[in-house]
Amino acid sequence: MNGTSAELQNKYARMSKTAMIAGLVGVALLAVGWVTQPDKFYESYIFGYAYWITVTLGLIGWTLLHNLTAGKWGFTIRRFLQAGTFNGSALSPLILMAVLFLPIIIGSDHLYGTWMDAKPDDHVLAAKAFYLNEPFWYARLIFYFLFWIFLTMTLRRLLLKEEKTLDTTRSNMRTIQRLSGGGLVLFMLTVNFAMTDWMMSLEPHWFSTMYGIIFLIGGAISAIALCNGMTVTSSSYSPFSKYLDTKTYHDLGNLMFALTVFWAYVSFSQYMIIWSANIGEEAGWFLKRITGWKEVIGYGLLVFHFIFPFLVLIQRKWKRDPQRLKRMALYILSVHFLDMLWQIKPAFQEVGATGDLNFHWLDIAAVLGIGGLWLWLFLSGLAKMKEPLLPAHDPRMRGAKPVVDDHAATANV
Amino acid sequence: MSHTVEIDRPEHYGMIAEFDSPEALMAAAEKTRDAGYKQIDAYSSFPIEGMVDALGQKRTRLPKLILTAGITGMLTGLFLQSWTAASTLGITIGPYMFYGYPMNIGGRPMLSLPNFIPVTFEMTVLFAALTAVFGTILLNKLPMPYHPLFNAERFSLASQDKFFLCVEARDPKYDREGTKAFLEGLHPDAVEEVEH
Repeated sequence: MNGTSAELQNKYARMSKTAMIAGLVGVALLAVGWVTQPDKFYESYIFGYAYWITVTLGLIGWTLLHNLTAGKWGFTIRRFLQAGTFNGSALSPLILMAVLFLPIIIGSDHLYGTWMDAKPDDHVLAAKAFYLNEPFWYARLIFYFLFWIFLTMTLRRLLLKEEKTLDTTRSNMRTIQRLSGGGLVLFMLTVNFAMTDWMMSLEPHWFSTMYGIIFLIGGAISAIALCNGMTVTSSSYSPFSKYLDTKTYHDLGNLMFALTVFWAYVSFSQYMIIWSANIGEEAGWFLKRITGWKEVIGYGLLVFHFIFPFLVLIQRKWKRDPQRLKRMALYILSVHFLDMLWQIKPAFQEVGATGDLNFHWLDIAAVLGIGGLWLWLFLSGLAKMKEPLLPAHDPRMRGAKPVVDDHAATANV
Repeated sequence: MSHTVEIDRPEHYGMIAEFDSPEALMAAAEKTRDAGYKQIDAYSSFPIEGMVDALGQKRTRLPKLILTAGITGMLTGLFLQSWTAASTLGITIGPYMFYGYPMNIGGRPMLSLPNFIPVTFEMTVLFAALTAVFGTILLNKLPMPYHPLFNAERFSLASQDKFFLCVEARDPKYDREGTKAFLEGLHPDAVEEVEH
């Protein structure tokens, strides 16, 4: 089968309808939960939100990284990166995530009550109050989203300009690279602080400097898995069918492979440092997460989020065969669910509480509801996209085609 | 007892054909491979995508060596730490005796696996990386101070703008007249025999 790009966009449109229906079902279930068990609702909601905000942020990270490094893999997935963050209209996944923060603000008393209404004799929280106070928290929240939206909007505009102009002076490209370089530094910091503000402060007495990075890496691997899945789904249609080759799949698979190791590296570092120190105020966080069934999930993450995908993706055939790559991409997206579940949900239990999983049907509703709306905007953005689905006229992509010669590619225009 | 040692090698190293473009070289390599020649190689001043397949070369066994070395390094690291930190096992090598020396560090278990992981990880990487570097050098038979191909007059152009295909004499299908005729059938710019 070899379809046209119009057929591909029809396919995206059909997929977006399915996502919309799934999203509406999820939202309906969430609404039922909000009315009947508001406390449980907020706990599940922040879990579902964590899943999708990390994916969104992962997509921004890959955009910045590719602008600095180039490479064929990134041109292949550029439209997915754009559609998953800012797609040119107000109906963009990133803006959706900003709007969907509202329920968290409404539920902030329940979620962040420990530090928002700290007891006067709580000295740990009193010492943290210069950072962890409500006005500053809201100010940071607004800054994060404004910065992310500004960054993705500007980069999208500049990249589209770069694709259209046959600019030989490369001044536009230099602007993109400067913005991406500085932007990457500030982006990493904002993600780190955002994860601290939203997820780590669910347990405000505990702290870890590795925490934000674990979420960022978990998001980055899920984001590249989403792009890999989308690439394979689009591969039998023009323009992808003319452009994709085994090498590109291999590179995309390698990025996923490398990040399984990176995820294990940062997750284990956090564990080992806390395990070695063995101080009550730090170890409590892990103690909550290794009682009863949660211990099974904890070790399960080691196996399912690291050892298994590592051993599969180390083999060439799993990276070079598109269908296998897609299967692994779906797999990575599902273990991210397990990872977020294990990180977020035990926050609402006491240390030494029963070993139960704290799993609730609303957890699935939250991932489904937020994810359905997210994928609906993502896919309908791709379906409506007026630009070619591959940035065929980007000077650096022409350079990437037969022999990599950046200089020649831009000089011959 | 004295007799001369017969050096078992043909007087020719092989035959090279010169081409003008990487595409021509690629097409010629595919035809030569399909004709049943096994000992062929291509020479150009830059890597050509897909040439390995066009030459019908087997994948290198380097990845398997690196994996084996990585696992060996991992087990070495784990064993060394478990032995020294968690056992009193002694072994004698010549005049020396080596003992495990368990130490209680902050009341942690003797077999503190989380603390063993960094060294285990580093040993895995060290063994694998050294195998990758030295494996690449040795499997490529480097260093190689002499190569017969440089006896060919035109071959120096391979580092400029010409592309060469070489059929080596150790190929069972190789015979001077037949191979020469075959290579000329590929429409090269020139065909030359290479002395040993």
